[in-house]
Amino acid sequence: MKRIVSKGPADYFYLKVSLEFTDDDFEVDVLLFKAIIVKALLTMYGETGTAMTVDVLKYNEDRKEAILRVHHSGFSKLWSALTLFGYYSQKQCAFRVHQVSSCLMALAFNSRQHMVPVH
Amino acid sequence: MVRFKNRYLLCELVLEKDCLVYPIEQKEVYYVVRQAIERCHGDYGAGVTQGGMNVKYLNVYTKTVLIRVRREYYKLLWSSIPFIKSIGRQKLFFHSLHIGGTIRSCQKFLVKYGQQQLAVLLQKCKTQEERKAVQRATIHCTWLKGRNFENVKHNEDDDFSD
Repeated sequence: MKRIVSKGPADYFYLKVSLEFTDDDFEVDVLLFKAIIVKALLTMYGETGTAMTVDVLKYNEDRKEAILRVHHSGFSKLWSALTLFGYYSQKQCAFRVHQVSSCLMALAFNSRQHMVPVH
Repeated sequence: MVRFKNRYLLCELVLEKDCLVYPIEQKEVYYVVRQAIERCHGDYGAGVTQGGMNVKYLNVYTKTVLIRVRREYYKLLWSSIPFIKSIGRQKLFFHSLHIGGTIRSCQKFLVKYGQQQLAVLLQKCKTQEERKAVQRATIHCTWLKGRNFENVKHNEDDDFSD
């Protein structure tokens, strides 16, 4: 007789995303980045969408790359809202989701973007 | 068996300045509800409820509204209804009474609710004529519960007041 114990879903999900604009001159600081994420949730899921807490843990302003943290209940909503977000102040943009994991340590390394120095 | 299951939300419109009849059309109620869902639940909510949503019944005298929505998404409608503050220029709010699976269950609830409201109205009556009118209405709807009311002689002396 096997007994299966489940720990349930993970508490938080971590996403490594980057925001791409068609013209790279547009500068986005961390507050604007968070505001764009909230705007994406607002258009897709309305006021109840903006009620979910999304934390920007790290932000790289040069590459417009960030590590986001979201509760497991809002995870699929956040990812779908970021996917379908296309315009910000008449500029075309897109969110690229590079990595997703339930533990933050997994985002430390990405085998796709890792550059091996060739001698 | 594959069929669309619905939920019917029964609401009462409470106007700011209560008047007997306020001319509202079903179209206006539909647009206001759509706007509220779009505001609270975004494109997802608007898209998902758009297929099955319909204002089935609207009575401007009793200010009762019956809205149909698909069963899987009734909570989106139910949670957006309190955010409606006006229709056109009239300020009002939706008082949600009942959610039923069929129109018939909502009608049954409405009958019971009406009887309860008559009891409340009786306490609020100020003049004797109003009391008599409410009492007559109460007797009439209790007699309608499957009894043969042709045999009942309506007696003016029947007074239930203390």
